[in-house]
Amino acid sequence: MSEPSAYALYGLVIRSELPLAAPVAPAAAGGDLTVRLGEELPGGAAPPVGEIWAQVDFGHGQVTQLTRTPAGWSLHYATAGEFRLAGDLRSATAHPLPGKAEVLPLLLSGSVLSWWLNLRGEPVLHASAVAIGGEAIAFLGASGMGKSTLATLLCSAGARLVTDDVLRLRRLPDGFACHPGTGELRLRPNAAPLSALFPADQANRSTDGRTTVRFASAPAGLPRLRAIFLPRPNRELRELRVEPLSPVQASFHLNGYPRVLGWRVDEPRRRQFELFAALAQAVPVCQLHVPWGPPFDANLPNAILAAANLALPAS
Amino acid sequence: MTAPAPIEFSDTTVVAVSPRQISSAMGAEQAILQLDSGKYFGLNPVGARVWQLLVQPRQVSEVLATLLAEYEVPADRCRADLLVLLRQLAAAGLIEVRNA
Repeated sequence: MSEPSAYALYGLVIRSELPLAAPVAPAAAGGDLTVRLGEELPGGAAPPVGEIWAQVDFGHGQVTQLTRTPAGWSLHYATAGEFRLAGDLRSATAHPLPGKAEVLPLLLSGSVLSWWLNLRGEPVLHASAVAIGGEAIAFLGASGMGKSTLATLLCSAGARLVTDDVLRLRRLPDGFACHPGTGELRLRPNAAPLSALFPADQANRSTDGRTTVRFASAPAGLPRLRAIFLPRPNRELRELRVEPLSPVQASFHLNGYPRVLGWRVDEPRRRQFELFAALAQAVPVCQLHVPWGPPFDANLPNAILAAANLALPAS
Repeated sequence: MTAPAPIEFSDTTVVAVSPRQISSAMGAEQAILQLDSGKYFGLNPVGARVWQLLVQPRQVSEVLATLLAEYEVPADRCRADLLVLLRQLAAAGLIEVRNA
């Protein structure tokens, strides 16, 4: 069996037979998780029998279920396949449904690693983040709320991409820092024209039909999280409006957007609650009422950064 | 699921926070997650003070006496407001209520 490639993702080293759109890890790097490609499942394969730890139904038959099994955990995606995680969380095998092998890498770099981090005791945010120098801002929200669009606009203005869609935090003595993600922005069809803001060789298509924009290098070091913004796109609005939230309000909103949902066991929810309570008290959280486009106001990136007391470097 | 909570309170009713919740003090306010319903709640500073008192099981009369000592409020108004809050907390599964 061939040796899996090693990727640097969210501060981890992932060794994977599935090709990931992520930076390659240094040759001497160890490995936090090794993922191998297992045999294909029969069509319509059901989740295994066991204690259901989490279940979430996204509609259209897209049900994700995390099940405790004698061997470890099963993460079953009803329309894609199953990842079987070993009990020690050091290894996993990916089992595609017929014709679905190509979507497994995307699931692994986003959803699967988010569940895996939660099982290791680390909640992650459903957020995209960009950095100016050593300082980052995050856009938090459910799918389709504008996270990637705003991150794209900021990057087109000179900010660096930290992560798209999955934000793993590192707790500092006096705040939080952001681990880098895949180095790729994934744009929905209505935001795809924004890829024209970047050189053509950075743009591509993902296996789930989105337009992607690839960035060569992650920010050096872990940027410190300076603010969390909850995008509230508004096509009627003329000017950006920033609405600061109290720590209690911020905590509620943060708890509304963990990267994984549907827990039926207490411990992961306790950890989420505790992390988000600490985050809400350490980092300003604001609702960001954004005049939505296209077209977007050319000054929007500066206005957003100013709300976090940051500014783009002079060009 | 927690059993339906009684909604009648007397001075000797004992109330305490439920083990099926987790909470965090945030400044003078309190954020709470009910683990069975998955719902989040926030308490203002006075509600947060009541919540702190209920970390230990206490009779309603004891909670009321503490509030009257700490806040300038007429006794009948304080009692009425406290009972409203306790009923809401009980209905949300955030406190346990035991009548003698």
